[in-house]
Amino acid sequence: MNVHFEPIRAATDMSALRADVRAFLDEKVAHLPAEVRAQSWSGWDDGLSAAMGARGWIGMTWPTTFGGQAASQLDRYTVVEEMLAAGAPVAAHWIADRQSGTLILKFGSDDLKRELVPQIATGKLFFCIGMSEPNSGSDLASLRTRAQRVDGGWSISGSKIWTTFADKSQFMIALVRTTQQDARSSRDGLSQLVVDLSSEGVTIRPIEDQTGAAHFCEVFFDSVFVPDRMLLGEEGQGWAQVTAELALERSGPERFLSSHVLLEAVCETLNEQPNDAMLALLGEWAAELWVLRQMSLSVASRLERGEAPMLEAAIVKDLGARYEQSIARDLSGAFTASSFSDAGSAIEPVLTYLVANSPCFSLRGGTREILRGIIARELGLR
Amino acid sequence: MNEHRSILKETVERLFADLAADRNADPRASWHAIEELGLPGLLQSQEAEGFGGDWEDAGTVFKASAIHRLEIPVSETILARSWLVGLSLKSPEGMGGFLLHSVNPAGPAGLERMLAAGKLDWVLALGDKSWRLVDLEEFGFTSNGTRPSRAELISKDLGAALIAEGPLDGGPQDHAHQAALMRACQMAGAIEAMVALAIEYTRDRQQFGRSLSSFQAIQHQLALAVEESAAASCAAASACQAMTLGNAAFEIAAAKWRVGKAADRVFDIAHQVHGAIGFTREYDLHQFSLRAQEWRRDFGNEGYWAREMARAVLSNRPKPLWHFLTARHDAILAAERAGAGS
Repeated sequence: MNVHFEPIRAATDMSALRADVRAFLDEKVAHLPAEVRAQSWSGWDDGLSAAMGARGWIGMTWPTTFGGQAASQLDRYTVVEEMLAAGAPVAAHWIADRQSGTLILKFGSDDLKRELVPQIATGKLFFCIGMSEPNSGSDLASLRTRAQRVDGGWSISGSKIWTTFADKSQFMIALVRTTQQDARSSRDGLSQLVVDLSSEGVTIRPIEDQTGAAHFCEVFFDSVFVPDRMLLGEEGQGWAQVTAELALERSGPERFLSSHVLLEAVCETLNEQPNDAMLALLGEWAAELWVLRQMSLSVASRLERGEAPMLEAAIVKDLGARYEQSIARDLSGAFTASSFSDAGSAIEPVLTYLVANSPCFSLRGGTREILRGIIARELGLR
Repeated sequence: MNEHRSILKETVERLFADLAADRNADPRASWHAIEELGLPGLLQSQEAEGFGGDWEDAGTVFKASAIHRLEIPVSETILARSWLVGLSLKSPEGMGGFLLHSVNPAGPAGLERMLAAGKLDWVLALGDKSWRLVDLEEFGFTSNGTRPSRAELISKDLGAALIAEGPLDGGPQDHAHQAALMRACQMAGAIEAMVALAIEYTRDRQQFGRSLSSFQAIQHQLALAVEESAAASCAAASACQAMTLGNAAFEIAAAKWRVGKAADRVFDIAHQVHGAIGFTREYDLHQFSLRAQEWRRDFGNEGYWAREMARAVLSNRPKPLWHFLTARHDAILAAERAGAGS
């Protein structure tokens, strides 16, 4: 069984950067109500993103020529985990920082890189990802939105759904069908296009979720023109590009910190002499959090070395999602009327929100069934 | 993994696999082979005529001993001998064991088995405030089968069987943590072995005209088992790293808790996918699954360690849990950068 989670070794010293980030968080985030911080990487704040951009904390690993800091993956990891643990509303730049900028640097033309990447690093240019469609979710290869060749570019027609923050982003990286569907494999003939969402023919409709928020949207394309230079990578290679992108977003600290604000609120307001059930629950959370961070850091150190630990990343996501989902629901069953001090009244709205929001933790970025399929495939079982 | 540890791991795995292959081997002959490698002195410094290994080396050996279901107390001897160095005692020859009277009143699991099988030459018994080193051969155990009870070992007049005794300054807490870490490493090995057996069995076994492992229901169960095994191994290895570099009280508690959870979940999955064959005495699964369940109860079960961790976290208030965890880990990495563990 070839599964490797060697503990991370003598990494560069993160303590100075960690202290910088904490000082920033004390100033910008600590005063926010717990139920706002509980939104974590679903919480949107343009101002916070711009402030982070000004400090060089967006696109940290990118080359300085494109607005980055040429920092290590572990520097970025430190900034991200600190932001999430504190409940900073990082949604605005989140996707552009984690995926879109890196993708454009890897596959975009030099002109496109110069045009978009430095702006992303300032924390003022936001992206969404257009993958799922009304009849194409986990079965992504069945998508039907088409881009046809026209003079000087492409014309897109079709629709995307469950697109996070399409209504607030300036650009979408859309996976679309650019050639006639091959009967043998529907994975062929897909391409990635960068779409300016202010283009004529784009209609965006937010969808309210069960928490009452509207994070995701439906996006309609009616003969939307996209210039040639907006093609990422090679025409027809979209599937390979997308699967590599998804694999890299599976193991970060966002996979186990989505409920962390609740955990800290409990820790802060738990009365002295809690009952055994609450005491054990707090200890269990501490242990799970410690192990998941060790596993996630182990993957991060391998990514830093240029490896592609696909199996390990899928394992971190499945374990991490179940842990962060369990926090609010286990708390629901364990606390008593006397568990918390007066300050514990902040718990109730956070608990209610996270119970309602938690199902999405094991849906976004690949359902748990898809992840277990990936693990089985990597083990050679299928 | 550094080079010297890779060599140690390969050497130990080869030896343990050879020893495990012959189930009727004389335990004395097996022990001789282990002594030839110098393994019993693994955690003793070279100045103390030991191997000079660290806790990450030890973790590797503990885990391998369980993967190869060794029936001789190599892990227990390594740990007890390192404690004897701390007590300024020269270690007796042969197979040793230890008792932690107050921490594990009912255990440790397996000690009775080893006593009964004549596999212990000596035992180090630690009470709340005192310790005793007992020669089991002198006790009459090996010659006529007289078995000391745990209470007798710590309190009875043992005559010539008592090699030495003395006060235990600071109590047995550090020993209890180290014993829990030893068990966590062994459990990670047993878990890995259970998962390997489950994968191998479901690949070979055909039902409804195809291998069991080709059924999605089975694949998802195996994926879960692999996830648990990965978490257990990472937890044990991370706690060993922390132990090598400094105070690891929290990390050991977290590891023993996580490994216990994994042992229980994998016990369930491994037995389920094996069907009836895995429930037989003849098949190997129980040698890992039942042992891992026994080990869960040793040196603190999950409930015990969860409450310990919670008390540690609460005693650090108003510092957030997050700051508590990251400060500990940053300190571990700083110690490693400074070369403390090399």
